[in-house]
Order: sequence, then structure tokens, then C-alpha cells
Amino acid sequence: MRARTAYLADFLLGSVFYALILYVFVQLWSVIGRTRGFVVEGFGPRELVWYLMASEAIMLGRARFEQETDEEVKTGAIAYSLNKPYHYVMFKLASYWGETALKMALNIVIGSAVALAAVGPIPVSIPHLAAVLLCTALALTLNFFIGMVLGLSAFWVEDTAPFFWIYSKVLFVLGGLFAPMEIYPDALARVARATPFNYVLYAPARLFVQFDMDFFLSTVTMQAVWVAVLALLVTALYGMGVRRLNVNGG
Amino acid sequence: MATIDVCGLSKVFEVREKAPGLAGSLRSIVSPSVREVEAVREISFSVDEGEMLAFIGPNGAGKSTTIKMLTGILHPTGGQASVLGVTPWEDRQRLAGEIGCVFGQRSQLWYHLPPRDTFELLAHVYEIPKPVYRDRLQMLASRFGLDEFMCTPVRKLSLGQRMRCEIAASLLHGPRVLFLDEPTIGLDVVAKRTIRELIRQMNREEGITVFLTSHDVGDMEELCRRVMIINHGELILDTSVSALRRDYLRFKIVRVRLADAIDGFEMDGVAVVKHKRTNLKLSVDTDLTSIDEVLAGLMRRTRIVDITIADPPTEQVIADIYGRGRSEALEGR
Repeated sequence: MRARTAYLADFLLGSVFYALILYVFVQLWSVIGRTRGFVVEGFGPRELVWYLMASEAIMLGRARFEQETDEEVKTGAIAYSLNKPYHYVMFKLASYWGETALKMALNIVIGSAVALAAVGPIPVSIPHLAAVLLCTALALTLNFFIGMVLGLSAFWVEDTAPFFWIYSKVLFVLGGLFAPMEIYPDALARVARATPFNYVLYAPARLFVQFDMDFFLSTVTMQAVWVAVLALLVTALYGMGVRRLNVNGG
Repeated sequence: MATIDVCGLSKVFEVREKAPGLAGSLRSIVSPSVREVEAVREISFSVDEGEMLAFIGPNGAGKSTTIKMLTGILHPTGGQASVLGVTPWEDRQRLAGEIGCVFGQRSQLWYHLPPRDTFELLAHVYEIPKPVYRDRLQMLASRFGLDEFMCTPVRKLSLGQRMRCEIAASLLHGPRVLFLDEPTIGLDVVAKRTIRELIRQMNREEGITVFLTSHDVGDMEELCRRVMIINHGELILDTSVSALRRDYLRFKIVRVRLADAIDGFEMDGVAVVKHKRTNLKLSVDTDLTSIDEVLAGLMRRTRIVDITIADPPTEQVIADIYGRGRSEALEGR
């Protein structure tokens, strides 16, 4: 947390970008709502703005840890990460949560302010928000393990930047960043729901805008399953990767 | 039981080779060419508690690979090793609490934060109780002279200051063995002397076993009683520093630039390696004559404008050792 806020202006500037994106989409959905008056599966312009506020808050609130492993393997700095009495992956998780918690808190404040000013409030309750918080925490943990699977490939390929670029684009589409699955064509929505990506952005954002208990229970169950599967995969990849590690730089 | 025990340790790396140009890049995708590099070849040695050992060799000799296997970072291809009774690569996390590491070319300090923040994090990582941490930090800060920049971001520190922080960070949890991989690389003469004195003090006062790799012969000469030389992955010499100095390092290379040209220079124990007008390169056998006497002899002839005194390159020492025959050179302590 301290390292990320060492340059406070830099840290806060990221949230300015978030506010800008929200403003642009607020204008977009407001115009569409006024001229076409559409509502799809209960998602009108107001719901879409709040949906975007939530999905973008998560998308931009995630700590960008992915290429640290890549960088550490390339420079040989991984030597210092591996010779400490902690598990490397767990340390990365703790570090990820330190930065993510800060960024999410800031994004929620800024996003809520922009959305409130643009379209007004949506109905929420304390139990509803607690459920969304749990779902979001699982979503961010799921994002960590997906990122870690990609990051650990650095033990084999050293440069993982292309994988992370692809992942971020996949999140745009299959994660439901800009619009909920309800607006997607059926076939695409089915594909997206079969992947873990929709549980990173769509599920918590949808829950926030349209809470229902059945959806909450099925979502957190699937998030927990995906986290467990990916955690096992990360454990296996880490064990294999560490054995074949070639520390660069002498 | 020895603190460090190594038996037949080997490490082979696979290096992908690519022919130059675009055609070479495409060919390497379809049919990659892999070359095996034997970085360490069946080395065996042991180190006792409290010993200060120098593990020297030229670039690419296998020094850093060996130290990384002993700290559990790399898995060996063959052989065995134990550090404080633990196989490093099998029980790395348990061993990490008992050893400290400094890799001279890398940093464990958080770049944008002051050293104090890194020390605090390490206190949590190593689960050092708060009162113990406070006392330990105070002692290390005073010993290493860190107080003046404890609150300055690491990115603003000089290399010498940073290295003092690195070594202090590696000692914070009171390790029993300290692995130093080229700790004085890039430092000036004064900073090197400071670092060496600090390491000597910690060894004397806390009985820490020090395993030092370097290709700076000065690190070896000033810190250690025992030296091992590795080249091309093989241990070619394991002897005391005094024996090494006596047998191999008694020669010094003296380069002088004189105010006026002289016709040659003759003195017992001095060989003229190169002589061009006012520039002289001499090899001085310090067993037969001292540097003082050589300089006095030169100054009787003319003024000295510039002078450099150096040890022969480690590569030359090792080449000399090879020249005398491996079987003759390999000896116990």
C-alpha cells in the first residue's frame, strides 16, 4: 500500500481516467435512452450507467501485478522473492490486495459521485451491499488467480505481455465490461457464462444493479469453484516453474 | 556437522540458440536449437560454522549458480547439498529464516520507499518480535551508519548507501549463514572498504558463517581466510588465502607514466612487461621487492606523473593455476 501511494498524484490520476470514461458512457446511454427509450431485461439507461460504474470500478481497481513476475524473471530479481520464508504466490496475493483495496475504495467514491450526479441513485440496501461486497471480493480474487496463471508462464516464456493484453480484451467482451450479458446475443452470452471471465466483472456489477438471491448464491458458488480450480493450477504451475527456473543475470 | 556440505553438485542449463535474421527467428519456432551449458560440474566442499569463505572465479564460472543452489533458488541437476542440515531447494522456506542473502546486482529494497519501510516489512516477513526488531534495527543502523538516510527513498541513495542497507536488511533477522553474491560490485574503493569492515565485524561478533562470491580479489584478501576458485563450473583450487597469496598473488602490476622517457628499468624482482617512451608496465614480485622500492627507484630517475597498482587479473591467476597443472593445484585446506 505504501509503495503504491508513494506518488500520490500518480495514484489519483488513474481515477481521473475512470471518471472520464464514466462521463463519456453516461452521455452515450443517456442519449440512447432519450432517443430510443429502450429497456432490456430491466436495464434502462440509469441501470446501465450504474452497471458501468461497478464494472469499470473493478476493471480499473485491479492491481496491475501481472507483469511483476515477468519482470522479476527477466531481471533476475526473482532471486530475492524466492529466498524469503513465505510462499511466493501468497505474497503476491497479499500485495495485490493491498493495492486493490485502495484503488477500489477510491473508484467507488468517484464512480458513485459521477453516477449519482448523472442519473440519480438506484435502490440498494445494507444486506444487498454486503452481498455485493462478498461477490466483488471473490471476483477480484478470481482475477488474481487468472493473472497468476498467466504471470507464472514467465517461468517458461519470460515475456508475458501478449497474454495479458489478450486477457484484458477478453474481459472487455466475455467479462461484460461495457454492458451486461442480458444485452448480448444469446450465443455469445452462453459462451461468456461458461468462462470464468463473466464472474470477474459482469456478475458483481449485475448483482449491484439488480440484486436477487438466487443469482447471488449461484454466482458466489461458481466464483468459489473457479478460484479453487485456478488456485490448484497456480500451485502446480508454480511447483513446475520453480524447478526449471533459470535466474537471469548471473 | 558442517554448516554447508556440498557433494557432487551439478547444474546444467538449456540455452535456446537462434540463428541471426528473420529466417533464423522463424526456423527457431519450428525447429528450436538447444544447447546444454554445464554451469556447475560436480563440485564438493564443506564449510564450518563461523568460517568466512571466498568463492571466486571469472565471469560465467558458476559462482552465482552455486550460491543460488545453496540458497534454494535453483534446483540442481545432480548431487546433494545441505545448509544447516536442510536441503535448500526442498525446504527453501524453512531455510530462509536462517540465512541472509545479498545479490550485488539486484535489490530487495522497495525502490520508492525509505529503507525503514523495507526493514519493517522484513520484520513482519521473518516474524521478528517488535522489541527484538527495534533493538536489532538500532544496532544495525548504528553499526552501518544508516540513521542519516533511514527516511530517504531508496531511489535517492548512492550505491554505497544502498549496499549498506541491503546487507543490514539481510542481517535483520539474525541469520546464521550469510550468502553474499558480489556485494561490492560497482562500489568505489572507500565504499568497498566500509562494506568489508562491516562484514568482518558481524562475523567476529555474531559468529555468522559468510559465503562470499566475487571476482574482486580484494574482497577475498581482506575478508577471508579460505578461498575456493571455480572456473568453467569446476572447483580448481581450495586453499587458504595466505597460501594463495604466497603462491599466486605475490605479483603486482604497476603502470606508471613518467615525466621523461627512460632507457629501461632494472631491479631485482621487477620485470618490464611493456615500455613505450614515458609509459612503463612492470610486473613486481612482492616477495623479492616492495612497491615502495620500485617507486623510489623510478623517482631517482625522473618524476612520476601517474601510477596504477593492480593485482593481476583473476583470469591470469587462474590461467597460471591451470598452467601449473590441475592435479598439483587441487589441495585440501
